[in-house]
Amino acid sequence: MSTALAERHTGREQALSRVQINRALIALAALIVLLMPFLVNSGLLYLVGVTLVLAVYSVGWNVLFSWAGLASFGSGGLFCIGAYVAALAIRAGWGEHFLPVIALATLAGALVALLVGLVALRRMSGIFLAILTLSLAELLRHVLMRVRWLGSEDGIPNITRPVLSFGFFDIDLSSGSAYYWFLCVASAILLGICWWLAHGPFGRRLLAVRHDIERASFIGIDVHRSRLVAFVVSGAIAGCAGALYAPWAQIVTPDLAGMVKSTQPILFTLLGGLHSFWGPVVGAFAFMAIDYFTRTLIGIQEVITGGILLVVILVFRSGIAGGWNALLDGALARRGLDRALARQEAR
Amino acid sequence: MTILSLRGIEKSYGPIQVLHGIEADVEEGEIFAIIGPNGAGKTTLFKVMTGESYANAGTVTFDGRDVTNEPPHLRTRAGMGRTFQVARVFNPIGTADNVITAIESRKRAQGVRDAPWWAIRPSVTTSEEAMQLLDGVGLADKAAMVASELSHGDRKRLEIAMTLAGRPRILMMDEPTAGMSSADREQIGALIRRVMAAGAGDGRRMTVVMTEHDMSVIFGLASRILVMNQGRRIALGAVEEIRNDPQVRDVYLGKEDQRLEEPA
Repeated sequence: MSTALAERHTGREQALSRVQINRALIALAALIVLLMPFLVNSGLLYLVGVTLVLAVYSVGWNVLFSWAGLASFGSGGLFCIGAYVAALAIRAGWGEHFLPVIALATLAGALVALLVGLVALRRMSGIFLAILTLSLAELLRHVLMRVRWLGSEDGIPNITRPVLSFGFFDIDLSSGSAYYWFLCVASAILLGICWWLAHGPFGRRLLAVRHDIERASFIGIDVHRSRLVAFVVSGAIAGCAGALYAPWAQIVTPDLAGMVKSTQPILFTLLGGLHSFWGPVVGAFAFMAIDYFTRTLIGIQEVITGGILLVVILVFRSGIAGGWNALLDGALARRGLDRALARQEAR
Repeated sequence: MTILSLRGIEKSYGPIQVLHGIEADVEEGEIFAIIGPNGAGKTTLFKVMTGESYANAGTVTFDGRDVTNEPPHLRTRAGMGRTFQVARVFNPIGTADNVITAIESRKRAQGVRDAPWWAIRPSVTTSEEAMQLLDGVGLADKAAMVASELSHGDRKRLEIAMTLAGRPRILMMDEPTAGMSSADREQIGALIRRVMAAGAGDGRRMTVVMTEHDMSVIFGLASRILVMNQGRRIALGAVEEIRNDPQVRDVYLGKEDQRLEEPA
């Protein structure tokens, strides 16, 4: 992950080519995602769009988990807050100012995370933090189910996709593919921010805190503050993803704050690759694929999903991404060895 | 000049009082050793000095300021470095990255900006400083290794390099040679002497506070020794005084114990 300098020194050739192969794959995947509106029907496009949003949301969760070492089981609550803020703003007719609305939803997610973090992080981590965040998200769900103004159990339906207004020109996002590309751009920006945070000095600080909290404080890192900032960043990403989700799904319900939404990033990360930046993205799309191809197998779909998850976690403890990297390293090492042998024989 | 001073330190864990009114002054430039039998309260006193636990009564003054209730990261930023009995480094990341993280933390606390805010990689000056520090502890050729692959002694060296990255004025070392081979032990001793000789920057001298079991290390290195027993200070003085102190012989080592003799 962050053995940047080490990777630069050891087996330079090998490490570089693995990175190159993965970069090429990421670029290819991004291209395919961008071309989706031309490749698939609107039903499948909707699924891909949702997966994209969930992938970004899970990366935000994973920055908190794999970098800061904090497991939140209530991130669905923050996603839900972002989605409701966006839905309410659009219902109130602020659709043409959708970018500020997204910013507002992001702030709402960050603010709630800040309040929870201020109370919880000072004394809690591990299982206590998990239970607390889970309970708070459930509490939010039950409150939303009872507030008539927010649609009670039915939530807020018929959210229109916005037309962005920039004074001189408008961008019409009301069609499916237009909003889909908007999702792509927004996801790219959010993933870029997460990448930058995770791999820069802030990420190095968080890793230090996760690896050894006491050592970290004895090199002068304010452990509590670093964790709190990570918690707030993760909350902001969740809120932002929620805001992007609302007009895409065109309905928000209290279920967004439920267990399923909160455990999704955890499952995606486990399947895709623990302690890997792209792991949750890989996991999200792998889950989508499994869901899609087993959609007609009603009744045993969950069994298949659960079985695959179990096999992947048991066989590759670092998920699909970790397994892939290990495979690639093995293949590259063999190729390197073959070359070295060939050179020796030539002599 | 006194750099670290303890006044009337009391500490209890529940009903058990482990420190009874400890008084001590650590002078700048000395190697100050804390010894005592198991359960004497050395580690507790050490932790009160570093901020890992807080005294119930009394004051800790470091470099002229009251740090009694300051957490470790603030003491670290004020110039206190700490190494652990079993070296603690960030295992899964690179040896150089360990030191880089420590340097970046210091620069951040000092408000030094030598890289643009958007930079992902550590600045060139940070990387160079990391290599210098690793060179100073004899780990330059292992900079590219992952920390978990280092030997016990090398991890200790890395920990010292990380601690020095904070530009400390005082080094707090909890049993620096515990569990080491005698060759490693001598090298760490030599390293501590080199660090002392190099000074603490700004023309100030480096100070070391250490707890230790191994008497040969203590007598070879220490300037002054604080002897503890059952949570009380029973002696404090130069090596010769301690060696000839009858109370120390009686209470701490037993009359027949020969460990106070000069090592061969």
